[in-house]
Amino acid sequence: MKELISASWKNITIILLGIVAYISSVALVEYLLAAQFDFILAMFSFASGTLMSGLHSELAIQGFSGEALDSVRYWSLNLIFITGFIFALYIVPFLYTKGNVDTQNMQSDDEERGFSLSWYAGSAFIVMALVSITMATSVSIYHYNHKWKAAAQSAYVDEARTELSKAAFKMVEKLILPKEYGGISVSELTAENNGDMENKFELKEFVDVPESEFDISVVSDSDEANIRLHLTGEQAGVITDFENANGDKGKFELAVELHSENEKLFAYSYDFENALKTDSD
Amino acid sequence: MKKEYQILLTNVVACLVLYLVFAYLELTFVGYGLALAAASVFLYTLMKAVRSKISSKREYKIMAGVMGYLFAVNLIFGGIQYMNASNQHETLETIRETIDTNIIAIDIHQDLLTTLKTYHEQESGSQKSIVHIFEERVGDRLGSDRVLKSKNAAKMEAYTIYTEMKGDTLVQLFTVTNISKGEKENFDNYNDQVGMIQIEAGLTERGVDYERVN
Repeated sequence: MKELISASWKNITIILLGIVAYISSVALVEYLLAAQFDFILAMFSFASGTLMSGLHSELAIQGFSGEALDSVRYWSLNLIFITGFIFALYIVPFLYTKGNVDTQNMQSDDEERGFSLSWYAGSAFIVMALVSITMATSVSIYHYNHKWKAAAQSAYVDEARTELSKAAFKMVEKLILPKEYGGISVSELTAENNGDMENKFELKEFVDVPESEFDISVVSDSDEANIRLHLTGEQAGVITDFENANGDKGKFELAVELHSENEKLFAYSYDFENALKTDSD
Repeated sequence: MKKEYQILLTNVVACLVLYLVFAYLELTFVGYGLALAAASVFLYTLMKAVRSKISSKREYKIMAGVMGYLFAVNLIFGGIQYMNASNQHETLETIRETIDTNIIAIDIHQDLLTTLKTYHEQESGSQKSIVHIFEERVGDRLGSDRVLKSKNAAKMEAYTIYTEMKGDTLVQLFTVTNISKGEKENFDNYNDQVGMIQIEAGLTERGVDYERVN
């Protein structure tokens, strides 16, 4: 019975110590984070891998701007990372193990059932480490899924814009060229078509189009010399009943207005006709 | 605990040296992976060393479980950080490439298509050649080294446009990026760089031939 009470006290003490130590360390880290004390962050977050990710973000951003990362910054981040790593995976487990061994020695030598100082420190740190790294991992998994899904959607829109720009350049060229060189006149596109106010053509009727996941249509108004290119994607747009230029319904669509008469050549005057549907929509 | 202190010290030194060597080689994630492997060796050795000092089997199992969990979660966390870092690197490279290629396309087409337009709008009889019109249009932006300066000076840091005229009927532009890498790493660029994006464009009275060659 005496042993059972002792074991219960031991477990309760571990949990309480862990909670108190964790809350105070998070508060400390939050405070120091504002002051950008990476070192303390690495030591007390027990997730120094975050710093490794941060270091690579800085390297990637420097690569983006064509500059090299300052070597002092590079080495300071590396040293902070490895210090935090050693603290979390070497010092803390060692303290925890030592605490248990010391306590066992103490209890076998002495009638009193106390705990060693290393046991208190080791237990507190190990609980902090377990809670912290579990939380950091869960948050990382959650953010990983969302972040890269959003990045893929953004890349899709960028690709659509690039495709549409290429098509716009080709169409502007066709509108500039005389007929004997394969050109087309605005009047051909804007001519009244059985009373319809809007004429629609497939881009491939005018220019060679490589295989693509996008459909591009040429749309013109018969009452004014207004020619637009509409790109329709395979992915869903925000407006589910949107009538796409290629005859589809509810798909992502982007449009530009051609300006063959001035230097701007074309403009995203209509921007997103039907913006890409995202998780938050 | 003397033996355990020795285990701690030797393993910490080994981990530190291993990581710093790879950090020096700028292979930080390889160093991170090896540091994790070294940590697993340390935790295993430590638990083996204290096995005889913990009399309760249950207590020893709990300790081993805690160590195993701590290591496993750190391993998963490290894996996610690695995937995040490599995705971020790739995404930023793609964004840079997209921005550069789109700006180049606009920059080049503006000069070439407006030249083409001016050429075809001339009255018959007083025709200037397409090369002449192009040179008139770009004016001072075309240096004696045949490098065409962008209208926006800031863009010049991202890429360089070289011009070649063939007689008075063909304007050729060779654009090479200064930061963004192309698809083929060993591609020999027009300006003796290697592996950068290269876009070639030709303008005749029949139109613009525009192609990304790397």
